[in-house]
Amino acid sequence: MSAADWIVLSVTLTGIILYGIWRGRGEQTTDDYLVAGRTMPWYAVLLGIMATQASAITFISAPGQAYTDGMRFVQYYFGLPLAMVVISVTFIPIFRKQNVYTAYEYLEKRFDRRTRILTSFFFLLSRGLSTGISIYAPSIILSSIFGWNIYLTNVLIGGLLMTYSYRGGARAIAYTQPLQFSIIMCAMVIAGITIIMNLPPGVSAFDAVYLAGKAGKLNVISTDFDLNDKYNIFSGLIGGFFLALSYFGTDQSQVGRYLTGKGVRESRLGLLMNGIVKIPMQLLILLVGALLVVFYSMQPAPLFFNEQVYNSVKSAAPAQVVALDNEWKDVQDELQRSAVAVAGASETPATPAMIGDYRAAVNRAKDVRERFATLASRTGSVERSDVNYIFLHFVRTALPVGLAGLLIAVVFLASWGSISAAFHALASSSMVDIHLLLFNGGRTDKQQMVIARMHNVAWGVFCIMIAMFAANLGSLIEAVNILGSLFYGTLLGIFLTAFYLPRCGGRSVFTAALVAEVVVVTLWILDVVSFLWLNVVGAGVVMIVSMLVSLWSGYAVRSMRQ
Amino acid sequence: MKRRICISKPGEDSDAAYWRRRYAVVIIFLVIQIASYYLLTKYFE
Repeated sequence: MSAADWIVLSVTLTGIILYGIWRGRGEQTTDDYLVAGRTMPWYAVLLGIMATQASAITFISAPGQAYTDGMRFVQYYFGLPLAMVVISVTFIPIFRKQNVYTAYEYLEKRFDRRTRILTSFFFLLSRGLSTGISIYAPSIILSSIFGWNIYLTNVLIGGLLMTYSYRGGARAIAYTQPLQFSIIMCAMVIAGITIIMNLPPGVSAFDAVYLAGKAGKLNVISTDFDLNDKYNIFSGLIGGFFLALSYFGTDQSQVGRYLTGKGVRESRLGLLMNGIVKIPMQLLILLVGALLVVFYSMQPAPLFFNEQVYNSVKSAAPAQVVALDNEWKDVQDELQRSAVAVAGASETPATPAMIGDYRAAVNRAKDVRERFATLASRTGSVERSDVNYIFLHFVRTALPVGLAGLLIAVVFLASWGSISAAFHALASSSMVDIHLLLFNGGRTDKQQMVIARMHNVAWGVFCIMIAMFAANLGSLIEAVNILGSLFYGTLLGIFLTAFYLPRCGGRSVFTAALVAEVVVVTLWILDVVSFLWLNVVGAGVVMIVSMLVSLWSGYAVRSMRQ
Repeated sequence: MKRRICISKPGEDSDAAYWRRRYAVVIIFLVIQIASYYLLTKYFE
């Protein structure tokens, strides 16, 4: 990185840290630390929700996802607006009326203590694991740029973010997230514009989009129904609806954000606006990835975007890598020639032969890259996918001076927003839903603050340990969503039973939750359905088994009375 | 005279109608997006 990049990076990060410290200053009560005193306007709630969901993974992995698999990943968000409506109608009024700190507090009032503890345990497990994966994303960047040891980098990043949420609490997070998120979105738009400006002379933005379409990367909507297909309109609308309902309705890292709103109105408006802006935002980020396909059709691209893995495979199997490198050079020439031919013909329709040549070159490039990944796997490389390094490679090598620093700052800000909110949610839930329930006498406000901070540190250490194992998970954005889907269906089922099945009690829902979790994990291990459907299955099993158990226990009680 | 489109139900308070309109906007916007993305996919494939 140049001096200008370093200046932009340091000024951006220092500015945000100082702003966070200034907003989070002063003596805090538990109410301030956990829900920012419930004083936030709707736009702060909105940006907090978006910044919590959009981690560094979103900005590193999503463009790479579009580069390798096209833009169909966006369908995963189609159920989100519907979920925002349901949460606004049902969840928010109940949580606000009960004046709870965590979503799980409500479950004790509705069912019993053990259901509350089980639900928060599921949440803590899934969120703790996925936050560990989220720490790994910014660590990739630092270790890739500076050649630092990835494990020490995990400790550094996790430690810094843990200290930040330890100090500031919900108030610092709620005030800095809007600022972080605004900078992030501006930088992503600039990155997209830079790709188009760096295309060869005569290739317009429309040409680039046209070529991306011909490369099969503008496959936004897929209408083929297949339970094993990860992203189609059906899994997006139905599975995505259940996943979003679980994530925003039952995950404390999100519930904690909209509980900071001044009232029901502010929380609802924040969520509904999220339902409007989320899909276009994600589409733009994926479009950056689709445009990168065009960019690297016309500019030299490495055979494998993860340089460290490339070098280690090359030293382990030099002859095979040299052969693949030679083949890759031929493919690059073929790609460039055919891409320029199709782009030049975009104002008059390109002939089927031209399009066929370009598609053949794209497929050949994919084949060569896959053969390298297989070779990497055979030579014992931990990372077999370079999907998380594609956008990063572009940032490092193609962006003008100053902008690379800003993009790297963006990735840090994104990690910061989501990971600090996650640490905070983990600490809030483990303290309020487990520690205070099991060990509490009547503690003072000051003692509770100390406990909350201790939980923050404990979760920081746990997540750093998980980050150490995240290297071999492939696309991080998929890994996080799969992990969420293993628990979210059950969590959602418990809450839906609480809201909509008034006859079901604590014993039936507790049993049903355990059964559902076993079913979901079994389906996942056997690979019966794509992961988005696990959310539907989990929620459905909890509700059906709860009804059956409560019917059976009612029948048993009646039989005994007779 | 200025007329407003009202989708409230008989006997429903104005707050409920206010939120019903906002929910409708979110859902209609989703439908418009899906339709336009479908056309985009078909046009560029």
